[in-house]
Amino acid sequence: MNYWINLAFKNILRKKQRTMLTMLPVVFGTAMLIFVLSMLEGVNNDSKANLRNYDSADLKIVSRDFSLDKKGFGVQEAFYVPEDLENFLNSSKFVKAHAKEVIFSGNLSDGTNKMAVICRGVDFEAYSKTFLTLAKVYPPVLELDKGVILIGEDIFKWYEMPYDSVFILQSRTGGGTFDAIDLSYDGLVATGNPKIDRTTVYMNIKDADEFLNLNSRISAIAVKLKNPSDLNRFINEIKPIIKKYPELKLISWEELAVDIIAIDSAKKYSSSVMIFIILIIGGVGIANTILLSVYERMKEIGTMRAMGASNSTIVKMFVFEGASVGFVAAAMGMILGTVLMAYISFVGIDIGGMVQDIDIGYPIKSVFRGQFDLLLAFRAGFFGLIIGIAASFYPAYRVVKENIVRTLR
Amino acid sequence: MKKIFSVVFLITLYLASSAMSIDDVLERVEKNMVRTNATYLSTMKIFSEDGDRSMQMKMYVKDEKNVLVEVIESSEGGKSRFLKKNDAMWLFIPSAGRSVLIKGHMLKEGFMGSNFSYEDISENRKLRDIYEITLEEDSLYYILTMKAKTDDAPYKLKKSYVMKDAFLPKKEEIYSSSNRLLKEFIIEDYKEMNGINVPTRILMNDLLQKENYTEMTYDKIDLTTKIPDSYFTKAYLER
Repeated sequence: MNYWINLAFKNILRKKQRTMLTMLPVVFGTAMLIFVLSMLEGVNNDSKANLRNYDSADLKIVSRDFSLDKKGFGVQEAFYVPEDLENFLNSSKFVKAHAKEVIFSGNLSDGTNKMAVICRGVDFEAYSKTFLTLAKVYPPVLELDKGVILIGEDIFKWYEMPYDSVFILQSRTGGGTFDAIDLSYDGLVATGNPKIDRTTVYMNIKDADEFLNLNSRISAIAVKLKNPSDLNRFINEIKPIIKKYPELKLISWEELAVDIIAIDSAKKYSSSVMIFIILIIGGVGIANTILLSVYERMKEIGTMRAMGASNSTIVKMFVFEGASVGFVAAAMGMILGTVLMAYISFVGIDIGGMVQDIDIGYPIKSVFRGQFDLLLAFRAGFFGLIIGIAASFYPAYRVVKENIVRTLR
Repeated sequence: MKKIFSVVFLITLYLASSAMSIDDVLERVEKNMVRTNATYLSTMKIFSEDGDRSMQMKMYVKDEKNVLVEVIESSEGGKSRFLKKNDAMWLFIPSAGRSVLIKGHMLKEGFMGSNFSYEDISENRKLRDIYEITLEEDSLYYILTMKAKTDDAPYKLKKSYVMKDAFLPKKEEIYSSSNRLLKEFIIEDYKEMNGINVPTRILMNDLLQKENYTEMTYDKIDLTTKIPDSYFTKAYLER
């Protein structure tokens, strides 16, 4: 080992307490960086999974009048399903399943209280293949018979009705007529997606069709692909058919997830800025420590230079000292961050009690889970090391710029 | 024998001629309900479990197609104006400084959060054109049962209990297609003015929600002063 490495190590160990204090911000910053980025990544992935599994599937075929800005379907946007489109969906090699939906807004009443809800008329078999929703019904159901209703968990809590109760669903029909339908409660839907659990009810698609007087028109066809990465290839394949029907258009889950992506990037950006500031503070701490070390050892450095030590050796020694502090701190931060990341990824943080009914922008209701990604931990650790190296350059540069005679006085 | 037949025939003819037809009842009710050239000062109170609200309004009615409503005071402090011109309905909020056309699904919403929809206020079509109407009667009321015959009728099924002495609906019941009673419109009070019976207090009950109803009281009614045409313009609405 070169003598300058020995000297650097000896110097680090000479002032243990100062070295520890210098390392703390980097340890904390690195651990926080791993924790926060893991959580944001996990939440982002869970949000997208919740959206695709319970709401959007991989792709939806909707009416041309459907607007993402309006964020909802109305009976006015219902359309007839062209036969060749249905045949195509049945035969496409990319499609795992597809389900027709009648989506409309209404008011659900138990005769005493009334609540605004989103209603989805679905076919049990097709919907079960396309979404996970109907597997999350309690008590489990094997059919969605006519005349029954499945209610989001939180809606049901609000009513506190006994099993087999009759709910009245009031809405406007396709022509705009004020009407209502009586439906027997058959189970509650608990998906963990707040949009579903807090606002959505499910009924048989035939009931919805008759009630709204739609004459077999529907609001959307949800398409689930065998492999989600084939989305663009599938869109290219279906486009010529959709073009034949100007009243229809395609919406991918990514377009429906635009809010999640926007919130995620905003949160990632703000968290990164915050953590970057912590690491800069850590870097300034390292620079300060090295600078103190430089001033304390000015004569020692002068002697080394007088005896023929090159400038690069002096710089390497101090940079190595800073890099070592940064490396050890980053390694400790990585270990701490990985422990925190493992906790948030495998156990999660239940925020249900804190947020309750508040819309936090993500389609997650209670448990926030992180993404366990060791590469992320290594990247954060490497960042800590870079901070250490960068922070020690300036003090080392100061030393070699000093006149040797002045340093020896 | 011939004489007896003649007497029975004459009695039947008399009864038939004195019985009210659906059109007669509708015409008499319309005479009382549909106003021309009327100015009202009214108070609307909205009662619900979330809290009660009230507002005072001035209404100018030239005819069915020209109506101006000004909210001059409200418990929430907001003021606004509505103009119904032919089939269009405009809302003007002074603080926003511009008017908005109320159309499509917005017409189905409650007027100022009340149990009356904008559509209840803006409907211009004749009942005969949108409902299949049958008539029954008892000692107090003509009972008109109206079943929607068009896709865009405001309600599927409606029963109107028209008072025989006043030719005003004492109560209108609004049902779902499965015969569940959803809403009730009640004329609580009325008075005779210039030979017509004018409702002075009406209620709209939402029966899907406990203690949720809207009460409209007409405090001042003027049926004689002519209202200038300029009142029913967008310029006047946005003044």
